[in-house]
Amino acid sequence: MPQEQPSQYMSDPDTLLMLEFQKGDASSFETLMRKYYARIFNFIYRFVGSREVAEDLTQEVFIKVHQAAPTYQPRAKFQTWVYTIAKNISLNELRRKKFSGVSIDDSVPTQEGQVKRQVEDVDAPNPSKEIEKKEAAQVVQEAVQSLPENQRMAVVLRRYEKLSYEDIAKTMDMSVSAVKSLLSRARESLRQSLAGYMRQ
Amino acid sequence: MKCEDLKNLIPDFLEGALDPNQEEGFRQHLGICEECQAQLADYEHDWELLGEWQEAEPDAGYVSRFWTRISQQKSWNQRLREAVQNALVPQKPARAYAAVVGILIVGVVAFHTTRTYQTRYMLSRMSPEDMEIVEFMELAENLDILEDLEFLEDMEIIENET
Repeated sequence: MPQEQPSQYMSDPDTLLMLEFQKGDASSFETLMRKYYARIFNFIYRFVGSREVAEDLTQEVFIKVHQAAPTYQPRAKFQTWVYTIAKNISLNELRRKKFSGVSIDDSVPTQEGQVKRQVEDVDAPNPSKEIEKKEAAQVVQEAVQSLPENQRMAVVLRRYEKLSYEDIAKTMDMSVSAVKSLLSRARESLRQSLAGYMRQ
Repeated sequence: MKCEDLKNLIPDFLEGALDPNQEEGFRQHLGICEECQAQLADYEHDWELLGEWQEAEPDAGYVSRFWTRISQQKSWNQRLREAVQNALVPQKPARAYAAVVGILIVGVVAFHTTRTYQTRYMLSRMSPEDMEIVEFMELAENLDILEDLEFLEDMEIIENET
């Protein structure tokens, strides 16, 4: 991938805020943190699948950003840079803890022992919309978690974080066509995981 | 291309991953094939369904928790340096004056304490003869004799010469 010139990122307002922080303006850092914290938290949460782990890792991401300030040089948009840090920290955590996603094909513990997870029968009567939504969220969460790591990351960045193919490619350090291919395979996997669920 | 082959291209089509020729062929087929249209709708529906996993809110105290973690990561000398720098910045003159006055008070007290301790230590190591000399010197100093000692010595020299 060709190295882009640093000057092209000087029009990115978030990069400018980071440079202001580098010069000693602490309020610029707080502005960046308030803008990105929830996004990075949700990115990590959806990628690792644990809220508690996401809380800790998001703090680590911003500690890294804070520590990097003295030597910071804009070589990418701030957004791409901070997502790359979050990606690396999340991957390290998954490697370290051998964190594994839950597949909807996995067995789940119940009072009657291990039983197969059951996807809702669309024809069954629903007690309320609220429960229906919670169940839908649960099924989606499990489907996303069952994706291979790189597909899951691409889906989270594209579907939830709304990043462009180009920004995902930079964050994941791969070509745009490789990102599209990953997403295409992820759609195929999700189609199988979500088969029969609330499909009209 | 067969319908079955074209169905496999739906995810690539949705991601814009088909080359222009493939995409054109796929669009033409889609216009006439209801089964492929239905499959395409299923893929789109699944993608929409992912939105059911809504955003979560991070813990409310994340900002204060962050700054606490940052301060814990600094060494004691970094924290001391920052405290002094913060106290001495021009925007906070009251703190700067307080810091300077504090440093002066600590310096004077430390100097005085050290000097007193040294004097006591020296006195404790003196022989009785030395103590007598010191007492005599103190007495002479009190009687302003020492101030005139040089003058008296000069007078004695003149007297001897004459």
